[in-house]
Amino acid sequence: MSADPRVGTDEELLRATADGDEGAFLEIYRRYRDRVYRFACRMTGSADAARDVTHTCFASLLESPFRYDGRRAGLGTYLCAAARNQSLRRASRAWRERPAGTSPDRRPGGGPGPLERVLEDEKARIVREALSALAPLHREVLILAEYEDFDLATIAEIVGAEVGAVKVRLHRARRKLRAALEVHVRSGALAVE
Amino acid sequence: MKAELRSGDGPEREDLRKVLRQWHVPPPPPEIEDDLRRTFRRRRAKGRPALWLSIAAALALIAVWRIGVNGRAVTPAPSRPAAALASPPPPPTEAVDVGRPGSASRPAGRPSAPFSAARHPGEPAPAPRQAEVIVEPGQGRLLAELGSSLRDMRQAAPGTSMPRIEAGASDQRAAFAAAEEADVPEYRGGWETVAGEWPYVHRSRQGEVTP
Repeated sequence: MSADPRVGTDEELLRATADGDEGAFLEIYRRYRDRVYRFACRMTGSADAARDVTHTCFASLLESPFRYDGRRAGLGTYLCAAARNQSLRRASRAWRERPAGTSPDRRPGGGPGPLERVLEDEKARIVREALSALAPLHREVLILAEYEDFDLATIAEIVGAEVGAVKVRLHRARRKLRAALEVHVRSGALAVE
Repeated sequence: MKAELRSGDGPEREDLRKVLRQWHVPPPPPEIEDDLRRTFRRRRAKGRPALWLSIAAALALIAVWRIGVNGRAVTPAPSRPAAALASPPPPPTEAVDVGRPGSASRPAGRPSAPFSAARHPGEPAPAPRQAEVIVEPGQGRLLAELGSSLRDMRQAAPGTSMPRIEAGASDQRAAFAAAEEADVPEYRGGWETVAGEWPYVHRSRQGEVTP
C-alpha cells in the first residue's frame, strides 16, 4: 500500500477504505463519479435520480467493500453495473421528474448565453426523449456503447448478458434511435457535426 | 448493413454518435461528495461500538455456555444413591468359604477369588458367583455354627425360637467340633485354597486347578 492513497490501485484504495481511510474512499469516488453520474443521468433522465443512484453506488462500497472482485472486472465496470441496477428501478418514475441536462443542472457563473442554453436544452431534450422511447435493455447498451465507449465484452459484463445478445440489442437500439432522430436532423433541429 | 450488424462500426454510427453527443450531461454536483463524506463518517463511528458489542455478546454467550457445562459436571449423578440402595444383598452364609478344617487359614485382608465349584457328575448346578467375604480364621467356626442354627430354625415348626447355644467353654468346644464335622458342606470340604497364588485359585484334592 503506497503512502499516498491517490496513486494506489483500486484494490489498495478499497482496502484502505475498509480500514477507515476517508481519503482513499473519496479518491475512489473522484475517479469514477463522472462516469457513474453520466450513465445514471442518461438512464433515468433525471438529475435527482442520478444523484441518488450515484450516492447509493458508492455507499455500497462502504457496506460491502469485499463484494467487489477485481479478478472479474474493473471497479468502473462494477460501479456501472451497480448504477445500471439502481437506474432500472428508478427508470419508470424518473422520467416524470426534472430532466437531466437542462438548465438547472448547469453550474452558475459561466457558460453559454441564454439563447445557446435554450438551444442546447432543446437538443438535449430531443435526444433525451428519443432515448426514453427505447426499451430499458436497448437504452442501456446504447448508452454504454455510444457515450461511455465500452467494448462489447464489458457491456455484456455490466448488463449480465451474452456478447451476442448485446450485439442484437445494440443493433436494434441504433436502428430505432436513428429512425426517431432522423426527422429532427432533416428539420435542422439536430445537426450532424 | 451486415458489417454494421456484426461489428457495430461504420459511418452511420459516427453520425449517430455526433447527434447523441449533443445531449451534454454536466458533472455531478458537489453535494454528492459531501453526502458520501457524511455517510462514511457515520458508518465508521457506528461500526466501532457495534464491533465491541458483538465481541462482548460473544464472550457472554461463551461464559454462559461454560457455566452450564460446569454445572452439569458438578451435579452428582442422580442414579448413584439409588444404586447404593439397590446394592445386591449379602451372599448367604453357605457361600462363605470357610476352608477345610486344619487347612492353612487365609490371612485376613487378602481378597479371594469368587468361589467357583467344580460340578461333580450328578450334582446340581453350582450356585452363581457371589462376592467372597473375607473371614478371619477364628470366625469361620462361629459362622458355621450360626449357619447350622439357622438351618435348625427353618426345619423347626413355625413359631419356635432359635436353639440356644450354651455359653460354657466345654460346650463351646464341643459345639464347634460338631459343626466342623457335620455342618461343612461336602463339596466345600473337597476344596482347599492355595495361598500365595494370584489370581486366587481353588485346588481340589486331586490337584485340579480351577481359576
